[in-house]
Amino acid sequence: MRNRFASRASLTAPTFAATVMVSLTSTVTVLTLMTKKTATMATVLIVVLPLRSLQSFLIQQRAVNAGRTALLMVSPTLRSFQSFLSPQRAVNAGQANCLFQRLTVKVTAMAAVSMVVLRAVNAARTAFLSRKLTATAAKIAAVSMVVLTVGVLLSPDKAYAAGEGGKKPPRQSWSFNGPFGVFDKSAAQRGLQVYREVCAACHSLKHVAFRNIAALGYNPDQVKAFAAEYQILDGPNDEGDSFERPGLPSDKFPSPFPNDNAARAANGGALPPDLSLMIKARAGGADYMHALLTGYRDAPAEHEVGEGLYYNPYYSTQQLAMAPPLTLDLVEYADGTPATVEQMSHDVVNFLAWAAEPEMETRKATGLKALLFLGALSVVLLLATRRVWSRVE
Amino acid sequence: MSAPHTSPENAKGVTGWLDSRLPVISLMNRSLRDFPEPKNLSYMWTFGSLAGIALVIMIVTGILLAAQYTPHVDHAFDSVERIMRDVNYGWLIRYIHSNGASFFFLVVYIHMFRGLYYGSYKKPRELVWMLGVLMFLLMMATAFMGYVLPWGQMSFWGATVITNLFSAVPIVGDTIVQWLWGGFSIDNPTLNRFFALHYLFPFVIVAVVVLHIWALHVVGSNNPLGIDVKSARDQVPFHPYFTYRDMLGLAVFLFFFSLFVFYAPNYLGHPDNYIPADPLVTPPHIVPEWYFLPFYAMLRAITFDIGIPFTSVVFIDAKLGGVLTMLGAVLILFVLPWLDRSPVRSGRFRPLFRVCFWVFLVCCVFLGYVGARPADAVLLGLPLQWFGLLATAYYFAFFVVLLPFVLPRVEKEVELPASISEAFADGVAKKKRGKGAEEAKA
Repeated sequence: MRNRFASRASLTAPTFAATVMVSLTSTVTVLTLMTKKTATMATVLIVVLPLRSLQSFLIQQRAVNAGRTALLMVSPTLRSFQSFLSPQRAVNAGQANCLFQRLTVKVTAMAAVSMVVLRAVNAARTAFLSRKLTATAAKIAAVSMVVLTVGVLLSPDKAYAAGEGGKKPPRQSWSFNGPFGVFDKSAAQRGLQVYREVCAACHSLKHVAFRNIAALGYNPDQVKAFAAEYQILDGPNDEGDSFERPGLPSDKFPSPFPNDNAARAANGGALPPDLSLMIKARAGGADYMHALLTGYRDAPAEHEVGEGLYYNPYYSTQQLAMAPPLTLDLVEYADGTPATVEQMSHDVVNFLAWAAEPEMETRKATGLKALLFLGALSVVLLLATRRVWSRVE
Repeated sequence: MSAPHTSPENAKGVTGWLDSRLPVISLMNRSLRDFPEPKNLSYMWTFGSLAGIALVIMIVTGILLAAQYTPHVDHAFDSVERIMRDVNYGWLIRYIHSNGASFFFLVVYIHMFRGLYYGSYKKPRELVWMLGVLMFLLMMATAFMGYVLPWGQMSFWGATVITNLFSAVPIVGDTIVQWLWGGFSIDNPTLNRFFALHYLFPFVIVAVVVLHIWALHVVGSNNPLGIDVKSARDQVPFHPYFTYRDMLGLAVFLFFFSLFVFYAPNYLGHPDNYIPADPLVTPPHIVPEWYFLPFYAMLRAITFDIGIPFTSVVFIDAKLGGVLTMLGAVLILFVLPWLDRSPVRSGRFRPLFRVCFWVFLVCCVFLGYVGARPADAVLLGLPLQWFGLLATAYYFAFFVVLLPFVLPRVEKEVELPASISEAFADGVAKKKRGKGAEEAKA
């Protein structure tokens, strides 16, 4: 359960689930019990509110709250509800206390669920007085949906609290969160430096090619120069021998060890995993990675740490073979940013988030177009269908 | 299908020439344009066509993926990553395919529950229903094998758990498992054959879809009232009434589908499947995809041997019991048309059935929850498995006790309306009156 509901977008997952449930429930209900009122409501839900949130979003400035914008697109109802309850929070949520924030989101989500469902049921009941049976059925469906939603909302926390796996990572406000999220290129560039100077000693990045880093804002010459700094094992040549040559943009990042066995042998039996997909391959995603990198501390007295292992409450077994990888001023940033552990972790997570999902910006931009088109198409088809059916006596 | 009839308007020209030799034009005309549908169908009847479209989406994206995928244990994971990174719009095609499976199951589940509620499986539609159950089984097999192909941790261990279930079969169990694996463990031969079958099964499903629709068009659609069509006044032609409505359904479906594909493409998946398969490392929780969770919960609910109490005689051990329960949960749907003895189709006129139905639905959803939790999870201070067993018991009781024995004895059906057209006209009139009253108020 933990993994299922706490995937990459971990901490927005419960709200997201709630939102989708609300949307699906209300749509199914509206579709089943199509009346003037419910149809209007569906239209409002599907079209008007996203546009409104889009508009207010543009005014608000992207940077203020990238994390919270996740809600804007997918949960228009939620957002308006939330700003209604605490307008300041909607703007400032990025800085707000995480726990309280999550609580607010949960409460508003639940309120929104109940309100939308109850409204749908009420509309259905008044419109279909003669069809009490349908209304009753809808009511039961609605109630079970609410129960289910509440279950979904509560589950991730419970799973973390159950002690399976590590401590729940605190929620961070990443620039790549949310439907309008974009990568912070300067952070990712610094992160590349951290990967190269620190992580790459043990961890491979084998799915990423040098040419890919152009997406982080490097020009073709810089990419070529960057690649050429690496020595790549190639061959066999005409004599049948392997040889080393400077890297080309088309090469993938070379791995630090020739094979897994060599990696294990050099790391006390533990295999440092490939980092290309790391952010997608762990529950909690970027939040987890940041928490892990900054979460090393002395083990509590009652906790026995194994030989050659290090205590970290965020790791699934609370102890791992990786020594604390980051220390103050471990790298010297080209742009002069002070290299604190927090900063380096933040930067390398930005870089790895990009490495895991290089298509993310295109994906979200395409999605916006798809949703606007499909929303508009739905409305047109709704009107057309109603017109066609109005002929039937 | 009656003898080909050639209507005057398409007897001429190229279409006429074609149609008098191979009547595809009149077949399309009959089944997609003029086909009469009850005019009181609700939007719940949209999900059948959505399932068909989902199948087409899966086949088209699947073929595109197969063109880039390598079914080999050393290359499968990397070839999927190559699709995600280097193939033009490969990420889009793969995310449509992976989320498409979930949405395919979602619409099929809604379609099935609709059929259950309105008694669409009853005479004369038994075969339509049974062909549907057959498709559901094929879908489950296809989805399971498809999930193995990316060769991530959950692929590998999911395949291990599911194929090992066959070892519960007495005597030949282990042989069956080896035959499925193509060896003594899950390895390259397993991946190869799963890929071959994953490519084959969807086309078998297409064939069954054709039979499903053929059988449906012989007997005609059921409707929310569950009463038979009595005159042409009860019906409207498929086009434009249902072509428009189905297009609307499709647009709304794609809207929600897009939310997942573009904004939460991995939400329904499992992070462990982005870790390459490793036979030496078992993930802490092995969970199937959400659409299998209720069945997975039933499998795990049977934790006891069945035999003679207080002796060591065991007829069915816990493992076989679980497998039989899970398999039975699907197979029992085949005989549902004969388990439900009520002559009334629609749940709308069966007050007690309706209650049983909603409890059944809640049980299925709850079983999904149980399946997602760890085996040792606790609810209200009691093992969650107990509740899972309870819900499983209700699942079967609904089919073998409530439907055939209890309901026919105690339920008093509500009087059925005289005809579809009358009920429909009443509805339209009420709506108009309601509107009039609103306007008068204003």
